Amino acid sequence: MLPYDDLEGLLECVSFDDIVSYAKNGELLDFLNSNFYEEQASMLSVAFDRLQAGEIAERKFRYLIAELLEPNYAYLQKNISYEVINNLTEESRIINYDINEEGAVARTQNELISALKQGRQMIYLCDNEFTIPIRKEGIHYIGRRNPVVNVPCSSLSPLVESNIVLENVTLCLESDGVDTASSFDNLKDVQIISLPNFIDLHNPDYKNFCRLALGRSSFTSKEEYAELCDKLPDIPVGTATFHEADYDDEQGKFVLNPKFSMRFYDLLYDVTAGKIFYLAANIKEAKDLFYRQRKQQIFAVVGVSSDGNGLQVKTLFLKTILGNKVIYTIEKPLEKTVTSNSSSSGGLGYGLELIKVPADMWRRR
Amino acid sequence: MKAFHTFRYKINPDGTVLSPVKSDADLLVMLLSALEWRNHNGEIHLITNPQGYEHLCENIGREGLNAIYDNISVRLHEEYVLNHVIDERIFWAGSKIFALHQMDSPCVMLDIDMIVWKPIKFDRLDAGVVGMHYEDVNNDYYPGRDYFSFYGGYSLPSGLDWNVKAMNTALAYFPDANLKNEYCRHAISFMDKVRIKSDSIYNGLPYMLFTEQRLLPMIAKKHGSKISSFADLDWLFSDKNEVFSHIWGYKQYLRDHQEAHHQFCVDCVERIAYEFPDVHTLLKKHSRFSKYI
Repeated sequence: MLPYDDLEGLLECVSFDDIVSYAKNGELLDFLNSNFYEEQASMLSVAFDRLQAGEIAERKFRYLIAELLEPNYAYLQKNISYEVINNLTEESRIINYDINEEGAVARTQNELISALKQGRQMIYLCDNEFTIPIRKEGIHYIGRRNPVVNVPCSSLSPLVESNIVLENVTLCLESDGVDTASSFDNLKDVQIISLPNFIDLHNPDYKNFCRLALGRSSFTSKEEYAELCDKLPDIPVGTATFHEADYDDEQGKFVLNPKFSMRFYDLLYDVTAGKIFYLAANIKEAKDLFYRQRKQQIFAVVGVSSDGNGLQVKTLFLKTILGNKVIYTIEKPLEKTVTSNSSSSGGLGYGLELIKVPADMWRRR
Repeated sequence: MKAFHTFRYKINPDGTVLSPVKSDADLLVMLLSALEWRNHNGEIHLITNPQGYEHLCENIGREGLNAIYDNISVRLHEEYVLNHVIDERIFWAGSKIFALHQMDSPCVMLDIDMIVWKPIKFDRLDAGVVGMHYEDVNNDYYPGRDYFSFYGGYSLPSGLDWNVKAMNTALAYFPDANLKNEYCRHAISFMDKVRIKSDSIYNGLPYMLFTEQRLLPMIAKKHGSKISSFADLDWLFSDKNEVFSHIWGYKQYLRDHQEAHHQFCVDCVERIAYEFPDVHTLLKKHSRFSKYI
């Protein structure tokens, strides 16, 4: 007999894989029966009988086990429960889609490519970020759970010309000049995100930035250089896409997986390497962001470095529908109380700001 | 360069235990201090007493402790208790003098709330002793000779210069064994023999400061050794300081401000996670720190 008083105790201590093992060897059924979980016991019996009879596959069986334990999901170890439960839940939903020989389901870019190679004409894009090839004509893409579709062009015309149909997706174009109000027959329930194109050799701000990024010249005073740096606008340096799986509802924050432009590698390396970025949002805000602004541009506020000779990222933030959300900023030094040299009481200590993980220490885990 | 931490589970003169009551922040800074030292500057030893060792094992874990320190000695108990009766309510940091006495030179005495983030070129330090920074003397914290009186006809050594500046020893380098031992002998005798005034200001702070920070440069000067400091206070408190962190009086602030304490611990744990993932893995096993992960 499993040595737990209730389902919560079981789920706290046992991995999902082990629970499935117990489901197969009868121990879970005994446990449920002896602890008066009659409904769950009945569901388990049916699922097990179907597995034995070959009516359902192993994965479906695991899904049913997860389903019958649903009220206690929170107690499952997150890494296991998330993978198993969400993937299987997703699979369960997809089963209901009308998939025929022409259709396919893609959860990743690789699966998308595979489907295109197989000549599928209707592809369900599930809850992820995809880049679709314009040259593959006549494809109907249908989104599930608001996937982000990147199209490597700056207007909608190529999509129309290639007879590509998009439905229920967030479409991300590489330009800030797209007429998002335009109506195209081949876009159905599509939300368009246009990302400003800062990296344009004709953009005077970009030229200024490039010049200042080379560092202070001998013919520019530190004061002048600092003044020029301060005049730089917020610079779009990368993007972040929200994933439901990366939202921690208990702590109210998204874990971001930003993609930074290699163009800003030198400037950003110290700030970003290995760093995990978070964006605070309560559940309502998180939902809004997920469905209305799933992909975001990351902007950098740059200024003069502490030695006065170069550029330094001061802040990274996202311009969201909820306002600007800072994901990184230089720590304000703690207020320093410098006591007299004889006090020896220590004041508030020194070098305290050094304890935070410094930029050059951040390495990708 | 070999450095050492001193951690003593304190005992009152009547033999009752004066618990160290280390906060989470205290322990995390101690870990960072040891880890960073070893990362940049060499071996780190822990000198403690048996109770202190057990206390740390309970709170950090025996496995973690052994992973962090190159060497752990629990001999602090023997020398401290068997041969001397020190009032640790006054000489709360007195144990580090005993630990220093046990160490071979060259060595570095490193406070457990002091973190050194970069390598120090010890071979370029030309002095008999190098402390953290100088402090002014002949004030309330560092009173003059007349302030001190002693039991048993003891007197301070002759020839001490009462105008030499005091030296903060949160970080102190002792390349000269003779000087180190001479200082330790006098400091221990002072703690043994001095009469503590019942109305002493700052709860007896001048006694500890004299032992730990003023007597050292006095003895060094008498010994004919050059004295030097790693930095000055203005520099340490400036943005230029990227080398030293001393929690110092901020410990009290953290004790009084729960939210700041929590955030501080989160920062420490995050730092350990990024720089020392193996130790972070060990920390995760301890419920004391899991709330910061």
